[in-house]
Amino acid sequence: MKKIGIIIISIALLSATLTEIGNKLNPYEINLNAIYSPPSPEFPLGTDELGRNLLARLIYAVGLSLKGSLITLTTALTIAYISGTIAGFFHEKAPDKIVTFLITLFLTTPPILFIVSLLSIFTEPGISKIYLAIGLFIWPQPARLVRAETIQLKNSTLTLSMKALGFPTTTIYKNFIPLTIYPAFVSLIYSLPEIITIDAALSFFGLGPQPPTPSLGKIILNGILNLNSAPWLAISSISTLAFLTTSIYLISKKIKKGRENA
Amino acid sequence: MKKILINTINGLIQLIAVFTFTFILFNIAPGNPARIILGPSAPESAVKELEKELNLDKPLHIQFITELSSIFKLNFGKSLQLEKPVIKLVLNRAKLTFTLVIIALALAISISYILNLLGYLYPQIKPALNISKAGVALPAFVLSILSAVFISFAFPQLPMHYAPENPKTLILPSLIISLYPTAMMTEITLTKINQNMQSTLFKSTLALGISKLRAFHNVLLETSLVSIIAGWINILTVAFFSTLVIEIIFSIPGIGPLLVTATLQKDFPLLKGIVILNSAFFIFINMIADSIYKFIDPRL
Repeated sequence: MKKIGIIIISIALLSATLTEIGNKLNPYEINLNAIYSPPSPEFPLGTDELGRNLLARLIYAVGLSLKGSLITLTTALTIAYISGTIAGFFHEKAPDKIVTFLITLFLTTPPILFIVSLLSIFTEPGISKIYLAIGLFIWPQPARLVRAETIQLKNSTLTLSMKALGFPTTTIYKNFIPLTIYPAFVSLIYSLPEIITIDAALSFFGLGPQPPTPSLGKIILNGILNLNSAPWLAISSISTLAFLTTSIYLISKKIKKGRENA
Repeated sequence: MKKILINTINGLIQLIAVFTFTFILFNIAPGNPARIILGPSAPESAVKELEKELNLDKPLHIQFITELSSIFKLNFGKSLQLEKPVIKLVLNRAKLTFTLVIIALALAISISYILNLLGYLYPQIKPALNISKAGVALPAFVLSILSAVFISFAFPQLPMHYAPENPKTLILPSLIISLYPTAMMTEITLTKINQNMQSTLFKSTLALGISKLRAFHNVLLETSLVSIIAGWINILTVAFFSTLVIEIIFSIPGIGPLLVTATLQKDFPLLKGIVILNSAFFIFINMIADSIYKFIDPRL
């Protein structure tokens, strides 16, 4: 549980630092006389279609993605934990069958379709709604792990001995929380690059936060549309996304290794 | 036989669940779907007319049953912005999208087979195959855009736009889409083959004097086949997602741009049709895969 707290707080701290740095460098200032200017000492990564400092926008966008991914993490973790525990507790009975059915359903079909249709209802999906929607369709993978762990623990001698000692069921399962939730959390950290990618893809499709707010997908889309006239847009934005996802992937591998060694 | 029947019924129930999801989303949840489609400034009469057209004024259970029965007759209604039947639109576009996906997946499976065969016959190559693990690190979306940008700079003479009269322009997009699936398939097969090479079955096969190639195909591949097929199904979803993105970059008239316009114009019938038809495809493929597992490994 300590590790989970450390990871969540570091993500929050990182996102706050990045948004602050991005804000200091002024991502909103429009310079109409410097539209699409290449990298220069004044604008280290160049400017976009409205003359805004690309470096500032990218840093701010990365900070926003991390902040939003926290929302996704919490929703997905909560839903995964509750459904996984219910499924494991009522193993082989009705609630378990319903939850397993939902898990297989969400794992066979690509979640992007459901997320896009969920967001199409809202006229102006803000950042929190987008990440909430992503979290609503990402929980099946960790839920499977929670369910497997709960079933394993339910049939273990630990439960048997606690029951024999007279502990009520609620106390038994309260003690299981750290044991079952940790694999789900690790799996979610593994899916963190996927979450950030889905969000970038959503703003790529046009469903992201609205224009003044920088978002990675939108910058990438602009970069690709102007690939020949302003190559630095596409190169810097997609490299930022690649760098972000790779570093998260490497860190999550370290976390997984640490868990296996513990 | 019984298992196949159970799988089919399971698939049908999954399809009905997807339909229920879109039904709840587009008919119940927002409050007044017609108002959402037309926007807050439209006159009340227009909203009432749209409601009548979409059958939204009837009681919910009648809506549910009429829609479900019309879906089984393959009637998804008409698109609001394009005025054409939804199913014709989606199937037309789906032809292109699924051509890309299938080419990418076929490439993935053949290249990973060849690479693993070479790695098995010439063990010196194996360390080089670990590059595939790096390819899996980047998500498919990032990898495809990164390669598209890189290729357009490295080879500026290659066409970056799809032209309907020249099918050769489809080669580059399908290659780009196949990068992530190939890396993933190679990695899955490599891990499984390395695992199975330690087994006594394989060692005894070689000790009995059976040729290396035969041992590879009959022992290693067969024992890894279940994981390979499971991985292949998994990659299908990922490849579909990256195809949607690549279509937008290369201006290919597939499901990607259709989805984008449907969402931006709030074309609910079209969205419903896209979601249900695509989910039906994936559910169908999973149904077939689940039935195949029983033939490959009778223990399952």
